[in-house]
Amino acid sequence: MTGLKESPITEIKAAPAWKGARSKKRLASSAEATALNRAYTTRMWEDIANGESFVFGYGPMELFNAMDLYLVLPVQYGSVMAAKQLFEHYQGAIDERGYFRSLSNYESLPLGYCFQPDPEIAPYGGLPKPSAIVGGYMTEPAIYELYAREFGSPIYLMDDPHRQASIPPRWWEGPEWRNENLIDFNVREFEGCVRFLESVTGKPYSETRLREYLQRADEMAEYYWKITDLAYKSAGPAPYTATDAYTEVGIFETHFGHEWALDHVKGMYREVKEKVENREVAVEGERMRLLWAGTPLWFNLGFYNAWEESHGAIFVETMYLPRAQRMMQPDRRNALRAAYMRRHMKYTGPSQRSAAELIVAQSRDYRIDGVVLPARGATREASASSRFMAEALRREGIAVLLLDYSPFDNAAWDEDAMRAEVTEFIEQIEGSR
Amino acid sequence: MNALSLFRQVVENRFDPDAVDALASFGGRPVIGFLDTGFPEELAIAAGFHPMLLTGDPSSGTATVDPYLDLSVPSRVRHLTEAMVTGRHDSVDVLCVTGGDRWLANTHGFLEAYRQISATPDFGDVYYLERVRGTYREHRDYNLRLHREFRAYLEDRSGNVIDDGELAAAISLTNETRALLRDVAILRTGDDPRISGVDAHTITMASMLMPKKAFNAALRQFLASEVPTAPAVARDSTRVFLSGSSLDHQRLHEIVESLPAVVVGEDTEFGARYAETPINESIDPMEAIADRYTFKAPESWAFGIKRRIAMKVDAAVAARADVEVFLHLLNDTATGWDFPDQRRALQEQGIHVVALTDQDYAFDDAQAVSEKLAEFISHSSGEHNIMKKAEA
Repeated sequence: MTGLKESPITEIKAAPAWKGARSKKRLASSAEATALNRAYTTRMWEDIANGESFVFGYGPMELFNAMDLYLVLPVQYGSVMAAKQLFEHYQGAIDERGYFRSLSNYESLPLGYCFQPDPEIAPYGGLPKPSAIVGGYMTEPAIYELYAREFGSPIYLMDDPHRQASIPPRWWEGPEWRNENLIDFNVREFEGCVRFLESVTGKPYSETRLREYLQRADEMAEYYWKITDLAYKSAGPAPYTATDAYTEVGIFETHFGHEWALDHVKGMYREVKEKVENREVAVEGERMRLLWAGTPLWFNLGFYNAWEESHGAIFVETMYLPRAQRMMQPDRRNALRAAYMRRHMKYTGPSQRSAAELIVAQSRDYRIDGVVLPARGATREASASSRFMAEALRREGIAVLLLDYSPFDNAAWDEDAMRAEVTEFIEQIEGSR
Repeated sequence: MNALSLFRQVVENRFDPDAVDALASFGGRPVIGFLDTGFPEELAIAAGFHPMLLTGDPSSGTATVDPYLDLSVPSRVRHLTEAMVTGRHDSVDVLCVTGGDRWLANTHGFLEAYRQISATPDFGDVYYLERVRGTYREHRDYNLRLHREFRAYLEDRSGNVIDDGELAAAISLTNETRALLRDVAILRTGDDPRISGVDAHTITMASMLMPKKAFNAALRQFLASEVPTAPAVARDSTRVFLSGSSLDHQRLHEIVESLPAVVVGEDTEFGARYAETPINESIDPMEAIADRYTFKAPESWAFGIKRRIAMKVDAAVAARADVEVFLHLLNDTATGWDFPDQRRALQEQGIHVVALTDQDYAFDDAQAVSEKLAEFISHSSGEHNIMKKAEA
């Protein structure tokens, strides 16, 4: 038996899961990002409560932004649930329906709210009925179909085929290599999505407006690229660490193209540039740079600061801000095509080999001493690449730690054991010098 | 050798194409290996290839690939990759990986990355045939476009131009295979099943390993000569329907049928469903192939949960099952999202359901699974039953 019937939800709530330490941020821009994101989120939920259209799902954010459509990502809402120690509560509601616990993830966690709609407990007062469900860049279509059914909302599926027979070495450089048929198919998917959204939300789509958003999005991407290069490629210790970068993710992942977001990123660039020029560093005596190459521990961001004082070891990330370099899409004549091109396959590329090549190059570029990889792998695109990445890194003489953790289940997190593994890893690198 | 013995030998020898060739001649045709039933065998046959299902080996370990595959890789994919990198399928001329199931599709990436680590074995050509997960018009059109590209590849690889007449003949051949397999399915659904689930599964697997012409002839012989003289199997046994994760071996069938039970049907891709959805022979063959592979019963990774649940329930009811065993293999993240609805609908029909969750591909703890199923079958009360592997 699952055991859940023997463990009612009320009991689970009485024993809250372990909570992580607060993270350290060194940039004033990080505080600004938090404030901006909070203000946007507050306004968004107020508007939604007042009946404003919103999309629940995943897809091209620039398109939603250009159509004045709020987007609530299941993965984002699920991570807030987990951060508020509600993982067991909502996962318990899913389990009670008979779904297998081993299927659980951030993307599916909001289903718990569908099955147990309790506005008093849920983040932001719960989820009203979305105007539309969009399933794009998704792992399992069934999850989105269940959302559509439970909310009673119309759904548009956008499959995103990405694999192809061959990928050039250093695929992130050079001319476009993606198969033209594949691009055409995806653009047709976007066209269908636009018509669907116009129909169900009543919001108009303007190619000109999307082009303007994409132009600002590209500007933002260029600033993020410059920020990353300044921070990680400059000689000497870094001006910020992964915890500042993760704070910026709130802007990076959902607000590309907004004018206020562009202003914010310009400010962040000025701040980082100034810090580099003035040799203001995040951690005095930085002696080691570790790359966290998996989904962040959103419930425990303080984890990444834990070895700064003791070992002079900082964490940096490559999943978000450094990705900006690969997102720029200056040809915006067909705006939907550009919207597709700037996001598709930009995390790790479409294969295990492409992911391995990228992480080796990034580790070299950013002077990484050791890489921490998730032993269970990520969930999309070149999923299950960690061990091939590890193999490639070791061939290049870069130390690797494969850490077995669940990025969303804070109840399953063993802080002591995880810290011990990372400490041992750091000390091994120190010992090998 | 009677036909059933032939099918058994073919399945037992599936890692040795030369042995299968000796049992059912490939006629000198090069072999193209495929991994799931989304592969359009008709195109390969028309191009002069012998399409052959490649599977993992449940009796082997996975020590060779374990250092390279993340812990989240489903065990079926792990065993399949192990079979490939240890040379079990190295006499295959072309390997085609089809998209759709994200994990199975990852096999393509695993092999590409493994090639950088080891030059042996030589997998030969590895072709990736994408397949989108929905049934919208553009999805079907894209599948058609991909099939046309694959056709061009096969023509180039074989040096044979595929004409539409040959393609129509290949479609007739596979449709005949499906029709004969549906006759086998009917033998299972009567009051006294005339064929065991293990044998039915063996026959279906053999149809994906043998040349279709030879298979059809042998199956006709089996239906005409061997079935009429065979005794009914497992009279008065509990009638079991299998659902959930697809298995390309028959261990679960064997476990179930070691009990006073008989497997009367499955809705998994290597079971009775392989025989469904014949290809329309009255329209352009490429259009017909695209229709079939887009609109056939949706796998668990595909769009169409409502349609899928209805099909699964209908299949279990048509098989007149007493109970359903729902298998969930460890890390199969696509399978299970239908389960609660499927269970509810089946229970409304009086069919009790048990779920085996997080099981490993090889069923290393077969005894424990058997004991739990025996308990379920003897005490089936219609309540929600879930057995986790950890508790087995």
